[in-house]
Parts: sequence; C-alpha cells; structure tokens
Amino acid sequence: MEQEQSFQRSTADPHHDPGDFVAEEKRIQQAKPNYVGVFVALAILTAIEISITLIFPSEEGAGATIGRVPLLLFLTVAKALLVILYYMHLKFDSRLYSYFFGAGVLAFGLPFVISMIFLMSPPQLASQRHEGGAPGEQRPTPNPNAGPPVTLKLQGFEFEFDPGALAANSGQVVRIELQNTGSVEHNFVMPSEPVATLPEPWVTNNGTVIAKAPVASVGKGGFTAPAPGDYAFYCNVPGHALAGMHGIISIK
Amino acid sequence: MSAVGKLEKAGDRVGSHMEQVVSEAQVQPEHAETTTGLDHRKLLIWVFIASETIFFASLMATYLVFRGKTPPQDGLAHLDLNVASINTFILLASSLTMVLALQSIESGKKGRLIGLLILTALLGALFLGGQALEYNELITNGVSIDTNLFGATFFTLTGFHGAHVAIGILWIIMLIIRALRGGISQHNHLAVELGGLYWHFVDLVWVVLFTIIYLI
Ligand SMILES: [Cu+2]
Repeated sequence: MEQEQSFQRSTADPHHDPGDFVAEEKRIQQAKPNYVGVFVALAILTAIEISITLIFPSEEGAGATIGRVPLLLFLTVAKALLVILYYMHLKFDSRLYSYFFGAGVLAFGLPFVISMIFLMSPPQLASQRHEGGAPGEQRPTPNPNAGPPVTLKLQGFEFEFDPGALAANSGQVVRIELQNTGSVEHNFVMPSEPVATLPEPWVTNNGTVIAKAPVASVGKGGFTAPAPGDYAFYCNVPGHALAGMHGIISIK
Repeated sequence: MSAVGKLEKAGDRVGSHMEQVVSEAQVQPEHAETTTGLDHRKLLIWVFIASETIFFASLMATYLVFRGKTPPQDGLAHLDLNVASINTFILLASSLTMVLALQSIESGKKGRLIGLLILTALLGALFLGGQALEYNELITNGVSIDTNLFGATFFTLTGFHGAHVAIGILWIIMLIIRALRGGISQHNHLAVELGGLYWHFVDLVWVVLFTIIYLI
C-alpha cells in the first residue's frame, strides 16, 4: 500500500522525489547493479594500466611517452567513473549530489590540468642542463690563459661551505664536487653577476643551480668560469644562505 | 515520505519491533524536515567529499609540478610497482566488500553486513601494511620527507591518503560496534551508506594516486 505508492511516485519522477528515502532505496535495488562485475572491470582496467607501464617504461623517450600518458589518464578516469557511478551509486541518486561533487571535481580539474602541462614537458634537471649546455648557448670566448679544466672540491653542511673561498681563471672549465656532510640537502648555486653588482644574490635567489647534493652524497656539476671578478656562491635551500651558507669564488 | 508517514508505517510493526521503532526515532529525529528533498547528513558527506577532492587535487598538483626536479635515483627509483599494484587490488577489493555490506543490510542480512565490514577493515589494514613496507624501503634508501622535493611531496601526498585510510578503518569499526548493539537495521542503515561513501572516496583517490605516482 504505502510502499507501492512511493514506488509509483519514484518511477514517475525519479530525480525530484522529495525526501523519499524508501523510494531511493527501491530505485537502487531495482537497478540491481552487478557490484562484482564492476570490481572485475576495475581489476581488468588496472591490469591494462600496469601492463602499459611495463611494456613502455617511463624513460622520457619521444613517441612512447606521448601516447602513454593520455592513455593511462583515460583508463584512470574510466576507473574513477566506475567507482563514482556504481560504488558511490551517484548513477541512481539525486542529481543534487552529483552537482555538489561535480563542483568539487571542476575545482579539482583546474590545478590538475595545469600540473599536467608541467608533466608533459618534464623540466630538465638543473645540473644536467648546465653541464651539457644548450646547443645554441653563448659561451665566453675561450681564454688562452685559462688553463686545463679544474675540479674544485668542497664540503657543505649546516650552514657553511668548506672551503668558503674558491678560485679559477676566466674561461676555464670548472667542475664542482660538493660533498654533503650535513644532515639535510645542500646545493651549489652561482649568480651570473659578480658580487659587486649582486652582493647578496640569495635574497632574490638569482642564480643557476650548478650541483645539488642530497644527504651523504656528492653533487657534481660544472660551468665555464665567467669574466674576471669576485662571484658569490650559495646554497639556495630556503634559509641556508641567510644562515651563512655562502662563499666567494674569485675569477682571475 | 513525511515523518508522520514514517511513524505510521513503523506503527504497522508495533509489538516485538517496538524497541527498534524507538531507536529509529532517536537516530533519525528530523527525517523529512528538509528543503532540498535530501537527507542533510548525506548531503553533508557529499559536500565534504567535494572539499576533500580539492584538498587532494592540490597535493597531487604539487607532487606533479616538482616531479621532474629530483633525480630518479634519489626517490622514484626506490618505489616498488609490485607492492603498489597489490595495494591497488587490495583497496579495490575493499570497496567491493563495502558496497556488498551496504547491499546486505538493505536486504536485512545483518550478519553478512558485520562480516563484510570486518573484511573491509582488514583489507584496509593490509593496505596500510603495504604502505609501511614502501615507506621502510624509501627510508632505508635515505629518502624521507625532508630529503628532497620528491620526498617532501610524496610523503605528504601518500601520508595524507594513508591517514584517510586509517580514519576509514576507525569509522568501519564504529559501524561494526553500532551494528552489534542493534543501532543498524534494514530500514535504518544510513550510517553504513555514509561510511561507504567515504571509503569509496578514499579508494577513488588511490586510483588517481596510483596512476600519477607509479604509472606515468
Ligand atoms: Cu644548504
């Protein structure tokens, strides 16, 4: 009687049934979603995702990466929809819930899409970029008196470089080996302007990361010594340079 | 259905069900007093889930933006796809047991409800165990939350997810206790549905995390 009435109402207008919870339950039971089937579908989609990753390893190879990421994202969205529509039974519920959730997803989409743009063009590691040098990069004219490449070794710890003073000749190829003897990550950053123009380059963090050294490891990198002058070098981990983690490299 | 209608219907079952009617009235005192036509508590859970979506989106975006800035050998290389894959299947299975638990109580099978809820909580605990293995592997390789950008973003993201799983397990345990005390019945099981929505959401977050951390 009562139950049948509410059932009829629910079939007539499934989405605008005012507060009729019994009718709502009836709707879900009527639809009888195959939950085990949904699980099997989720498992198969996951297996496909994993095999894609195993067949095309994530090495930033040209072609493989381009098709791989959108495909994986597509499969992920498919899985997410299965969970939302069936397990969270949004498919059978009032549309108002969908609107609320949809608003959240929309707000989700914005930062996600932006971060995907970063992801598609993975930034090269600063140390690699510097060591290799871009093909068209302008290099200082080689100085005949520069001498052979030199390796400068130094230690970094909280919050100091040892030694704090380095020297090289203009035009000389300088290799930096920064040994981290501290307990947090440190790095070696050099601005392009001499210390006369930029006395405290760490204030604006104006510089190139030459080498970075995680805890208990040696960070390596290199550069060609710029025009003569005294240049600052520093660690750009926030707070480190201000605490004293900086030094001077004099270029002759 | 109005509150009066609800009570009338309940009145049909007066007698041995008297106790149940009283407890229903206590648990759902304002059943139909709603302007949206929806239960406030269910709407609240959905609004909460929407806000959680934004919360996790910002953590994921942070992870992705800094992803390429740490050499793989200092972080990503120490992740084990096998452990993560097994964890994924565990969490997907727990979503299945959760939805089956709701289905059980909808058709009045309370014993089955309790059994499936226990299974769900156990699967959740198993997932946390897998995560502990993974964290241990990273930390023994010198990658922790303060090591580098990968460590900071990875541990923040997966740590918050793990915390959500842990809260979900507590939630399910409370549901089990409530069911054992007789607070959940065929016609009063909104609590199971709400707990389920939260649990599926946590599963949903992992579906996305798995792709962006281990697969891409
Ligand atoms: Cu430092």
